[in-house]
Amino acid sequence: MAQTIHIEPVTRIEGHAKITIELDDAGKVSDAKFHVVEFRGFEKFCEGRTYPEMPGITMRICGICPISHMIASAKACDAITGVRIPKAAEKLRRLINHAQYVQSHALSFFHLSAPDLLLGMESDPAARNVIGLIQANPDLARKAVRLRQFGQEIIRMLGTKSVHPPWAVPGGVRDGLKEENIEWIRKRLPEEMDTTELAIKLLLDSYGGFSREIEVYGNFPSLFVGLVTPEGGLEFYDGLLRVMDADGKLLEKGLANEKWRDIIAEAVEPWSYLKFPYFKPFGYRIGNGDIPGLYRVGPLARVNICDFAGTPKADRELRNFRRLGKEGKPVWSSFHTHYARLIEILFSLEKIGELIEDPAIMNGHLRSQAGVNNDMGVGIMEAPRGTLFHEYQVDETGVLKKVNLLVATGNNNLAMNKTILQIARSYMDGASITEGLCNRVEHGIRLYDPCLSCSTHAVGQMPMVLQLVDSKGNLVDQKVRG
Amino acid sequence: MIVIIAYGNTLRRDDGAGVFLGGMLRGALKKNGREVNLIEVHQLTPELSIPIAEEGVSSVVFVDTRVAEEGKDNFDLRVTAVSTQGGRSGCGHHLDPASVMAYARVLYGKWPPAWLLTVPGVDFQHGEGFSAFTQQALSRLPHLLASLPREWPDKEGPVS
Amino acid sequence: MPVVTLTINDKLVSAQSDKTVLEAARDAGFEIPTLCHLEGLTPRGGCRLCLVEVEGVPRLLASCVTQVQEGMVVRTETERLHNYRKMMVELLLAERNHVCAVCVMNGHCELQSLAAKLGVDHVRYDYLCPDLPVDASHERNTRDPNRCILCARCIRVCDEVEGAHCLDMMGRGIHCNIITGMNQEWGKARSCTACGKCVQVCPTGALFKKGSSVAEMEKQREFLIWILDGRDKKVWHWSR
Ligand code: SF4
Ligand code: SF4
Ligand code: FES
Ligand SMILES: [Fe+2]
Repeated sequence: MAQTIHIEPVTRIEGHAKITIELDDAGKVSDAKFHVVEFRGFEKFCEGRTYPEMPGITMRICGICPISHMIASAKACDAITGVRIPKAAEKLRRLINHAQYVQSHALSFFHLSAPDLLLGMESDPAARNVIGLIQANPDLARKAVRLRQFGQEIIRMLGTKSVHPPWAVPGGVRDGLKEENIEWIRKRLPEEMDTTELAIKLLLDSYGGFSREIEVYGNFPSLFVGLVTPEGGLEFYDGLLRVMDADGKLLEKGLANEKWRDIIAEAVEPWSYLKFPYFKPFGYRIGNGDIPGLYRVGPLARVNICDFAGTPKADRELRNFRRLGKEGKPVWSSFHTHYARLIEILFSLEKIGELIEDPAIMNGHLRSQAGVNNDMGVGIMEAPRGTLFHEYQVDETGVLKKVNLLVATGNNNLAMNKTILQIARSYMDGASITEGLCNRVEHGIRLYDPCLSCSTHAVGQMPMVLQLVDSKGNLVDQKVRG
Repeated sequence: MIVIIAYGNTLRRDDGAGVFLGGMLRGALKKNGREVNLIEVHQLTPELSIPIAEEGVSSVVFVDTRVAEEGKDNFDLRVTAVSTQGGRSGCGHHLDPASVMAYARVLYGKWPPAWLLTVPGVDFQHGEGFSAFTQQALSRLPHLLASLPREWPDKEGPVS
Repeated sequence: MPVVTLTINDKLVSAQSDKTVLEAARDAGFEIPTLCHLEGLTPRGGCRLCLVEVEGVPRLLASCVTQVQEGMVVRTETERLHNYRKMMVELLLAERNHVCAVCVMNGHCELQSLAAKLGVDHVRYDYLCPDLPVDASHERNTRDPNRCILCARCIRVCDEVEGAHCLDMMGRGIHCNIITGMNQEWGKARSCTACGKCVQVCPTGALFKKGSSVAEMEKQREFLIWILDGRDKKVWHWSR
């Protein structure tokens, strides 16, 4: 019998992000669990407020994806009012979202994952850190800082700083761009494009050394979920929900957002506070076996499900990316998320270029006014780390009765657990936890760029504990990192 | 110029105590005639190395909440030295203070002395306001400063 | 009007005899914190923030409702006063549910800025955390009792300036609350003219323009003076 570990309320804050690896009677890895000691309760915090306050409240609750929450929330509010936001407002929201992709993906790739990728997983842990990387390649690191800064500067231009009111509001946005902003963006774009293309080259050059990682880092069949444009193109801001199976068959070609509950249900497990969403038609767990409804969201899923990107450079890379899938199937290995992420930066940069050359973005009409016209509003968008759902129910005066958020990290919960299991099965050596295993488990989690900051920054920052538990539930070994 | 980088989520009770303590520290240092640049952020990112590398920066103090467990923590403010030799980042979407310092050192050739000041936290529910433990610890800032050498944070102080 | 001479913080000050100590002090350049007081409304003396010490009087006096007197010796800044004021603000914060970071008035709130000015860095009292519903039924304004400090500015402006008297106070002690239209939903209150004056004078985020998002609400209090004396001064268009 597998041992189940309960997180008792008193020990909720344990000071660690805990991962347990469970062994069977024969001493083989039987399961792996990523315990998220997050507290729910955000919903309760919002209930009773008025819906127009939500973009501001939700963006302050998460410091890592404030823009995503602001946009998802504003979209849910738009849906409550039933208005169509002005064209310029939509373009500006898209612009800020692309800028966010640039800065968030750049942090994930260049600053967090690159040490493992460019210095090798087995290299001396003392050197295989940020400093090792920047020492080995200071020029790249400097470029990477500038790439992030480019994204952040656009976000700043649009007046979104933590002390300011939310920029996206129900019905549109608060401020537009200035001529000089456009000029600045235009000037910087080529440099950032070069940095991204250079990173792609470096990544692909290093692929040869990672054939085993590609095989075992989240390399399993699963469903893929995300948004696409009505034509089937890559989409981050607003689109139809698409579900693709592991063979590339479309189970859902393009579902209207408000129907999301038809395809997604949430399971709970006693050992984690994060819910486990799954594809409803396929079901959750049957006995102790695999979960047929397991799906992935995020860069890998988005790049898999779309028919095309829609910009020349991203489409060129996308064609190359598709070759990584076996027999024309979608790409399974989560290791390729790194590549997908870089393709998305490229796409975002190209889109930013398109948007600033579109005269419609300078139109001064930015905010439509309307009251409550629907008692329910759904806002779905693609955050850098995956699909983000906001769903609000209001009374006729606009006071929130029910708030439901399904965050990207939640959507990837099942996949993250499975990825850790796969890595543990492949790299567990004997009955102890090695340095190498620790690194790999960490890298495996990092592929999903999880945001635990919607819980707390402190939790997100906690050291990781990796525990090995035998079939009787005894702690065999433990390693603390961080 | 002393750079204070205070970080945390101000809507998760004690998690925001680091940000609050940053403000208190600035006040205390300014009172002593020191020049201070306070930066409040949600989490640490590479480009924080830019203000650190600015001309005239004499030292850096990172201020954060630490998750305190009963029995294992003395529930007091704590200062430790931050290495400029590089750190590591866990599985989240952020850097640690040593990594930020490493950026400043390698990219911009600056390594002022750096410290991590932490305040214990126990309550991370949604909302504002701090737990009694945290409030108690915050009130000990003058005591802590009195126990440190006059030149801190520019030089001397606890090592780790 | 006869003029009296008094001493405020060791400075000799003269003022017309119908002035309050608050007015005299402000004219002489002394800042006394206030919350319930607003120029243009009858003074109420409810919040006790404007307390001052007067020599020979054992109690502390609310300067907004204390008339000046010949030979009065007044202190507006003492440690005792400072402690009282701090305590008052802490009690106001503890009584309701204030989360400034996500409040529509963040950055523009009189209570928030006063707390900052007085150095209120924590609240010594237990939060009461009352469960108070937001009333968003009005077509233009929203009332959030969670942020109300019961200063009654809204009641006074509605009664004295707009003449609608839609707002009132009901209940005692911690059950005290602002009501609209004899305690029905604001949207149903027929006496409300939707003029929005109450919103503009409210010092906190308790009354705000419907649809405001976090930190978006800024209030224009000076308009009140213009309403009251704009005609005399021949100012036909009000601007900030
Ligand atoms: S009304 Fe003022 S004190 Fe209260 S929450 Fe809003 S900003 Fe803070
Ligand atoms: S609603 Fe505003 S103006 Fe009215 S009593 Fe409350 S705080 Fe004062
Ligand atoms: S201002 Fe005098 S009592 Fe409120
Ligand atoms: Fe987040």
